[in-house]
Amino acid sequence: MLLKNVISGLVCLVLGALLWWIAGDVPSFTATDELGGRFFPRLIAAMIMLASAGLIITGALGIEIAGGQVGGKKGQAQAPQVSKEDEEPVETAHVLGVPVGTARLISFVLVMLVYTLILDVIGYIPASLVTFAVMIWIAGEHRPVRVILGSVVITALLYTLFAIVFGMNVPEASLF
Amino acid sequence: MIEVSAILEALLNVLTPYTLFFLVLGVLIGIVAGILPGINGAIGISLILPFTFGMEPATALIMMLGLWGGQNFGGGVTAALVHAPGAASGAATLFDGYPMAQKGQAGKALGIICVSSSIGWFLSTIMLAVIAIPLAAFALRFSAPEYFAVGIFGLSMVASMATKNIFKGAIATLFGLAIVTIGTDPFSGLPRFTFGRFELMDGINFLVVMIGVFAIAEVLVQVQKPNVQAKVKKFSRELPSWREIRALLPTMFRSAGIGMLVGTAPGAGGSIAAFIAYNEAKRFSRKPEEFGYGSQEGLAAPEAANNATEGGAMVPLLALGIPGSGAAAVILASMILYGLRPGPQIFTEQPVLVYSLFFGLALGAVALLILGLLLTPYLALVMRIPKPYLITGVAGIAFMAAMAITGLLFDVRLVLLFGVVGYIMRKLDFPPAPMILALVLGFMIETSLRRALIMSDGDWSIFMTRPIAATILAVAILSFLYPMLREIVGRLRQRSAKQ
Repeated sequence: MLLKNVISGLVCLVLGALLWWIAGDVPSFTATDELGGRFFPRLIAAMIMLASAGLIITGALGIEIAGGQVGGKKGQAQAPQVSKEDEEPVETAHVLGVPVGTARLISFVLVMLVYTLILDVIGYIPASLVTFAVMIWIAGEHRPVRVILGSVVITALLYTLFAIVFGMNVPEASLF
Repeated sequence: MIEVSAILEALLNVLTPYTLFFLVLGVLIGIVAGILPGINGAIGISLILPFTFGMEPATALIMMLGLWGGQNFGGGVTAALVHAPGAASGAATLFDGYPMAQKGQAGKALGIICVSSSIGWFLSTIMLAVIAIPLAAFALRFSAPEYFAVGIFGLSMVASMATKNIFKGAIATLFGLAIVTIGTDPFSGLPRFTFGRFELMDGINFLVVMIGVFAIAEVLVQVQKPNVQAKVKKFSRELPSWREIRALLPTMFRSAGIGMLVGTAPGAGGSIAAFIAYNEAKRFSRKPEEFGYGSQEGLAAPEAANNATEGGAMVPLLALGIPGSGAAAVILASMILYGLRPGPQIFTEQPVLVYSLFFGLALGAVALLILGLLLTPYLALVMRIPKPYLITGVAGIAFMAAMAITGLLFDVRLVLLFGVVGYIMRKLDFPPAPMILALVLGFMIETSLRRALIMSDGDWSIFMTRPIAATILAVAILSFLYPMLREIVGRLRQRSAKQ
């Protein structure tokens, strides 16, 4: 059984059903056309549920149906051979019981989320300076001077290029 | 359909310093983007697109096409120097590029990659002009049922080809179509799935989704990996001789033809073309035993092919309005944002623009040749940018691009949301490209379907009684069902062989 396929199929099935249900609020037909705005979303929802059922069934049977390839076997992507010295090192460390790679990922998402929330509160430059420094640190650069310099350089480059050269409006602080 | 005055006007437009500057800049950004890990053509184009809004459409599109071609070359550079392609299209370049570099011939390897890429790109542009003009003339007969069929065909090809699991390809496509339905119903003008939010009244901009599922998802994938710097050894700067290049010309020409043909099939990208061209080059070679150990033919073939897919992908894009790959989808999206209507009408409505794109592509190949050969000694420096700064910089550009689209912070948050969605999709092997294509084609598909049914007074047989629409729909359905039928037949054969 391909558990990943079965679980993702079930999630998609639920999402398809949810789309079908929400589409019930859209008028079924209007004066301009018979199908109305509800038909297309409901058609998609039904097809999502159908494809999800296919994914669940094939996943439960342990079958993975790969797509067709242009050029048949000649066109099948082959994994490049990687020599031992080029292989990525495996990280075994954990942070609070979570693998270190996953911890970096979660922290990055959270930092980016905070960034999108503080942009219009403290303004583009302060928000970017702080966020980029934290991101650089999370991504693996732990020397303080380089973290600060990196953050300043990236923020300055982006601001100069886009806000000054291209004249783009960037969020301004509402707090001050 | 060919207008000489339009051709001349297009040539003059492209030869202005303004357009040439942005073309060269696009190629340069593309080369750098291709060298950087994880940045492909679609990501590069979607990141620069919001900043081109003030430009002339032709100039902006030429810049993007330049970026796309430059990125294909850049992917090969990383493949040869550090045994890890910067872009998927450079995967086949590993086989002979890296052994050549290991033998101390890195300069020659990069030179061959550059010349092959430029020739592949240039030849595909000529073939694009030859194929797209008559195809567009034929497609002018299309009306709503045919457009619906063409849209379904494009989605079906992309969802069913080169995906690890056909159901996942289909689901990704369908979710793309579902996102398109958010906003105002194009026929009644009533809000649909807006949940009372004014930001959703115009729907979700496909650029927001693209930047999320391509750029932010890539940032998340990279941050999860350990912080390892690519090791670049010192390399010889000796370029290939003219004699060596001349000996490779037949391989480059043949591979360019393969790349062009593969590129025209929606869903088949540069990596597939490169592998086919590599196999064919080995079959035609007088020294097949050298393949895998630093064969110059083995290096020229995939590079000429993957760059030629660009011209190939432009054929259905310009003639039918169907993008053949993720990068082509972003180009199509940009055309729509500029108020252009990609499809056969564009050849009659905007001939100058179409010919400008042809000339821009051809000149882009020349720009790549010059820039590639000049910059060869310095390209390795790009690989030395430490990963923490690189991914933070990409995230910064992605958020800046999101701010440039509508100026709403709501869109910036959506970019992050779609970034997380894109990351989950990649981890679960759901391909993002079909979702993006569905986003781009979804509006046309829904409106064509509804318009066709208005034309026929609700009679669904309109899709069966019109020969072109019926044929295209039949091919679309067969291309989707083919992998399933192949699997069933394969299993039945295995079972009967066991008995």
